[in-house]
Amino acid sequence: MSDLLHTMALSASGMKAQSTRLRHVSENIANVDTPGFRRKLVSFEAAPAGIGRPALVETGRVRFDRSELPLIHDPGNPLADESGNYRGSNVDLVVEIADARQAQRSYEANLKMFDQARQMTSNLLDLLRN
Amino acid sequence: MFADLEIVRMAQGLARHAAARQEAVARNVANVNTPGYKQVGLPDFASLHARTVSSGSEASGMRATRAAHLGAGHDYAPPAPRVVADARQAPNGNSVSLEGEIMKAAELRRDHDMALAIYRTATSVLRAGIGRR
Amino acid sequence: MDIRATQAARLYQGAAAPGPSAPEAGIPTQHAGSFAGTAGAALRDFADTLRHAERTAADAMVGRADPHALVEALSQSELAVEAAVAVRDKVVEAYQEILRMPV
Repeated sequence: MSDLLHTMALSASGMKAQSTRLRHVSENIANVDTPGFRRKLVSFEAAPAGIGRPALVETGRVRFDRSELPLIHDPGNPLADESGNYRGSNVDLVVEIADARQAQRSYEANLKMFDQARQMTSNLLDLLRN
Repeated sequence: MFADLEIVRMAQGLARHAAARQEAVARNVANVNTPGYKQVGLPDFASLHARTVSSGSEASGMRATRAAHLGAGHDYAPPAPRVVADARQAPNGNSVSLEGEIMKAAELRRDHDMALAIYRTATSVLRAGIGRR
Repeated sequence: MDIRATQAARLYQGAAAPGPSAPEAGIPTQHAGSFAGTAGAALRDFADTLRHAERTAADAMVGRADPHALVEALSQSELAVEAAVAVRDKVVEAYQEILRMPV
């Protein structure tokens, strides 16, 4: 029985991790035009199993994407330097949307596992009913 | 017939095995993006408890596949999940295949339902025997 | 559904009309048509049904039988047990009825 409860906790931690990932993706997309914005990257790590707690998955530290910020040429911009360029953000919309889609797919897979564990538990307890 | 309740015990074992597999599958799915995570799994119930049904006799040739099992394999406890060898790895070292895990989840759901149905039928047969009078 | 599931009805038939209407398989000829013979055949059939159900269940759990065979075997065994229990109850009731008769 504790198997299935642990399973639900595992799947819930997976859902939480994926929704954190999606939140950071949305943040990146919202800041696609913000000058000097560095893209945020979320890493996943498996938390080790503690006493009475199964091995869950958690999001690790949020890191910045250290790739170079692109130079945008716009002399009219107040932030432009003497050659008329300013640093934009290194967010690529295509990459972010693909990431969002992946996050959604993983989230739904975790949700399916959660639901299946819940139904299996429910069927098991139904045996006692009649 | 149902004298030694072997069917009941086997059904319980299959249900427990399905639950243990579900935990392994859920852990794999939760870690589908974790770099360096290796897929874990359990062996099949059939391969763990291969049962040779000899026709016409009640004795079942139960094979004890592991020496640690006491009582010649009458214990149907599921083993601990082990890392699946030779699984294809993504560039970040993750070896989980989401489609494969969903397929496994469907199979084990069917196993679990079947085990519960057999358990329910066996106990209702026994209960009818006890019955009124 | 298999005819074996209505074994109780055939049992009563055999008891009510003895003679050529009961050429059951496996009954020794001197008992053919008698209540003991039909009852023995019914019990053997019942035991076979349960044994078949148990074997099919074990095979299905290991993966050798298909779910349709399993469902058929299990429901047959359930019906057989219920029929057998109904017959047993009637027999016990009839016996008690007889006991209650004033001599």
